[in-house]
Amino acid sequence: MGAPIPVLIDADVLAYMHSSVGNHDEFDEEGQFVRHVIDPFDWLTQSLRNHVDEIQEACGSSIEPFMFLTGDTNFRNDVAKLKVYKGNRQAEKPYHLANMRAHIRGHYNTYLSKGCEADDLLAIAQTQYRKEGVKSIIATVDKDLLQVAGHHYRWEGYNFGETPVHLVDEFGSLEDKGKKVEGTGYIWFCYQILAGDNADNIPGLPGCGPKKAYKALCEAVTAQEAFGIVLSLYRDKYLETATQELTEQATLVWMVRAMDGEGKLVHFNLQEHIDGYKESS
Amino acid sequence: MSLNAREVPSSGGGGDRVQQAALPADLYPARVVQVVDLGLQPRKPYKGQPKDPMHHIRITYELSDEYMKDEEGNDREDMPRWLSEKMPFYNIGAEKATSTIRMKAIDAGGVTGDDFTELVGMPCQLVVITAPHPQYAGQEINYVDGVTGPVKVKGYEQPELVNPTTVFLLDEPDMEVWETLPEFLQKLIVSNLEFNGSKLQGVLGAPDNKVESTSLPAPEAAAPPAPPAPPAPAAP
Repeated sequence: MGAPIPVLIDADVLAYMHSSVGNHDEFDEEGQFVRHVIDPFDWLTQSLRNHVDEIQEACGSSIEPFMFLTGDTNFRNDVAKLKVYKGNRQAEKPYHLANMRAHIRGHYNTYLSKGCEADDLLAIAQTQYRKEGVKSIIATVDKDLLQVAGHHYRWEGYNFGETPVHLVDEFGSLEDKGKKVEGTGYIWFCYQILAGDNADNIPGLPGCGPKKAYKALCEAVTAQEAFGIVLSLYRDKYLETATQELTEQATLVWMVRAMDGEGKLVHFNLQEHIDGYKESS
Repeated sequence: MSLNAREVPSSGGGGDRVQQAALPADLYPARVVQVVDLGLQPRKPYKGQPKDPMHHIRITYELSDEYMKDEEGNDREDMPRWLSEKMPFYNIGAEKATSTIRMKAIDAGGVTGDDFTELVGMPCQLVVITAPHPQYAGQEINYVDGVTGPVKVKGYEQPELVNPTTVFLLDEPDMEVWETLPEFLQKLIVSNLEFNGSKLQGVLGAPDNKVESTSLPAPEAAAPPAPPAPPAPAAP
């Protein structure tokens, strides 16, 4: 029997995963294309249901999970000036993706984002739970969310293993894995401002690849120090427009942590980070 | 050979009916507009094993904010779209049965006493999905994937039904309602395994059904027709 732990599921990823297997091409014995097959939708919903149950079990939770889906609007589309946000994603979407998103909304406790991404809502929810002293768990395979402090769970995918529930602290860590750099917490956010994020078409600081970003940040021990390094590198590159360029990149990679009293998103604030950002403040 | 025009295969709408595109998969506010008793219906074998016939019902929903389109693509506000689903009718204690799930979703407050005929007029939200049309290549069709409670968004007032509610029961057949049911639905009801000797048979003066097969004559779930056009609104 699990505990009443809120599990916050990144349903964008889940919907994509479980709808992407719902259509395939059929070929004859000679390898000639025969037809495109779209599987019955209820096959996919069964696999989704099983997966959600597995996530719940892995997180040790006994209560219904919360699903988070991205809606039609996203502030990042307006913020991105250097490159179109996610402009590199042109693959055809799975036939059942829209069905799966509707299914999730109709069958689970679901939050649909407005003006931001599901990732931001996940970060806001986890941050709020932490402030209230409640243990919640973000369940996703998206590395971006690892900048958010608190508990995380990554389920197993086609080309990566499961990462059991683990705690990310506010400052986090960076690790050079040879072919790539992995990280968590605030320093992971700083790393992303420098190295960018190819998956989302966020360029970062020109000329600053993963190795250089890691080398610049790996010895920082406070949020203020880490952000100071980032600002310094941007100033070297852009001179008088440094804060403007940095703000664009940082706003793109920053997971929004809060809403104000009117329900508006509290975006990345440069001065707050120059002064030394504290998530729990 | 007869020349009964009702037996001629439809061309998919006929007359002046405009081909309606499937709705995008989404959640749609709706109200229950019709409940039809389909009687005892045979069921498809499951994993090679025959399944006992089951009492079935059909629920039709009128979408509150989606309308049939005219030739120019404009909404016909006197003709809201309808979507139907057919399901085995289980005792309310069968928690996983679709009929129970629907009752609990639409009547969360328990005001109907679990009587499906009391659902007509009640608000809900439909989880609508799309699928390739089983008969017409390149076209899509909508299905009801699920039903939830009504929309609870500040400022949203769900419209009342445009069309009158109807209920058709086999043990009390209302022939005025019967006449409004589409041909395929009448055939499905008449094909029910308890039709012979029923009140409906008596009123229709129809011959006995020959029960030869355990397969459904025209499974609605496998090959649903285009969303039925609602009957013309009653004159004020």
